[in-house]
Amino acid sequence: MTGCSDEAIVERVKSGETDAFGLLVQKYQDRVYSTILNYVNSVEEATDLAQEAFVKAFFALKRFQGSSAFYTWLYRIAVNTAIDYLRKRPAVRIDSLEDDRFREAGFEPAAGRSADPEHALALKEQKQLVRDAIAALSEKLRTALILHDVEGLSQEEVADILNCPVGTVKSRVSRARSELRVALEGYLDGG
Amino acid sequence: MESDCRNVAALISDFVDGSLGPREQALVASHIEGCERCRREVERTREIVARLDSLGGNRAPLYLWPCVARRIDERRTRRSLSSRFRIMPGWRMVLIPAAAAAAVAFFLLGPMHPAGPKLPQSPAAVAQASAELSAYMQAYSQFRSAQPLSDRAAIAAAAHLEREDAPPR
Repeated sequence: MTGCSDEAIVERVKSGETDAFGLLVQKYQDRVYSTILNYVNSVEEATDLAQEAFVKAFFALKRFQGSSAFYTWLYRIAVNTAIDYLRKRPAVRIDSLEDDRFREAGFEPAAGRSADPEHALALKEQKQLVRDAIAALSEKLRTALILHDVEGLSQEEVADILNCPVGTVKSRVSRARSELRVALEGYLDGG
Repeated sequence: MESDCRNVAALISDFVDGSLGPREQALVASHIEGCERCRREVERTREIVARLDSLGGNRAPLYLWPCVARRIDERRTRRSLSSRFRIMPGWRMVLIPAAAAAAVAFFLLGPMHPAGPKLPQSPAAVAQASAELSAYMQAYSQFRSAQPLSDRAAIAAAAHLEREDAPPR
């Protein structure tokens, strides 16, 4: 049953077999959740929005023509759900990543880093700071970066999801990385 | 050298991804061997990419399907209810006379607004307007009882409700 292709499951759902949609949820819930989490930075909100994205996908399924892969279509819904939510949510943008915030989180400059027993905790907090730096990017750069560098989708897949040329994705990813390099200046091994 | 660095800077992201053509890949590799600044940029970019990679692959904290299924059911119920209320004939029958009464009342009371029409000047005119309103309401009421499903939307609504209420074959 779980070996069914996405297209076959989609057809079953379209023909009224609602429970078959559960197979798609099971298959893609981690990817949808993970993508949304990287937008909203909150487990609770990401769980809620992931559910919402699947509900939207379910009701929109009758309009899904299969011109793109189901999962890229689903990613598109997930990304739009997260972006719509962020547009409505009071802004929590990080305008600048002050040195003090980095140090408080144990994000030491690479030169002064040591094998501290608290390193694991610091690492977790550092991840949060990278997430904050991502949150400070523009919507377009952030989306390309999350899909390509965080979720590991190919440039072609990202282009399909965003409905734009591959060259645009390359350029956005490159600019996003460049902005992150500047934002995290002094805290990277290469610095 | 400076212009080489600018050219290379534009290629660093793709170089790190390994998505350059063989000639460009070799060009950047050769340049960063002799250029400390560009080499550092490549290393920083690699670290950024590694850190970003570590943010992915999060697992959903619970199996989402039961929650998603419940939301789907709730939304279906809500949609069904709202569609019934939107087309229910009785609902229209309350709204239409109410709108008509409001229109007549506005006609009569309009002169309270400085730019509105004048009030009927004589008691006879007021009585006539009231009589017209009563007659309209009475006629509508008779019409409603005699032909409750006389407009197209109401007929469609009745058919829809019949279909929904029909027992399964």
